[in-house]
Amino acid sequence: MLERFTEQARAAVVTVAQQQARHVPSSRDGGKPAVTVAHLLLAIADEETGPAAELLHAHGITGSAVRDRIRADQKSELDAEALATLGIDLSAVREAAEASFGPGALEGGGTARGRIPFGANAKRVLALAVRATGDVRRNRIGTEHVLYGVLRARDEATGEILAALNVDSTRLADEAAALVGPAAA
Amino acid sequence: MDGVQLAEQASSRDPEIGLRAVRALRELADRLESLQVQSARDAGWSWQEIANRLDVTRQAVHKKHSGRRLFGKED
Repeated sequence: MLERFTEQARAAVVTVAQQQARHVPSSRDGGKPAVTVAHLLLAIADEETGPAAELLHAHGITGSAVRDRIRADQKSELDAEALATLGIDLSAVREAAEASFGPGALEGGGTARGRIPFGANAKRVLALAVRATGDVRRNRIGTEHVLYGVLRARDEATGEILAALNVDSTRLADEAAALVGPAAA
Repeated sequence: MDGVQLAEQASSRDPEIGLRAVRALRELADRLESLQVQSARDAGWSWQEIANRLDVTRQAVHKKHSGRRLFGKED
């Protein structure tokens, strides 16, 4: 399926989203390292050019903003306060883990090697992108189609990121649909 | 004993706090388990050896931890 993607979309989806999943893990997908919808959004927002990236930037959605949100979300999953009620010092545990396994070890970043699998919702995004492309024999799948999929997948974590960035998701989704043209309708 | 003190002493029996602590502990244990299983695999341990130490079945540990190499070189 990947040969149907444009070079740019393939780079974003495969290379960048994978890297992001490694460096900015988001364990919403069952606790294992996975490429999530938020990573796909991040990969597109990180691009400097292209209609999809430009649309995101116009809505104030930059790579660094998305990255910060994913990190903030990740931190809240290990509940330092609740662990303290049991006498467990999370920062001490994290320090020990990082001393043995490297930075970000407890966040799943230290040991993830090889290709990180796509989470269920991220797979749905790719399916939506393919569908939005219409006749895939004639049209290649671009980052705008992936973005369209990201906004249509109704992924909870992604919705929270957009809400935290005060994005008008409905308008953004409409504009992304306009980018991909009539095939999406 | 005043009301505030009572509330403080009773807090450890508050299910809200107790259950949240259990959940946090489970999440932490899961992360540590992932780290250690991955490390053991990298060191050449078999799934059976890992399972024995964790006191679970080989199938259970394989199912839970092999997925991360879904597209990598899996055994």
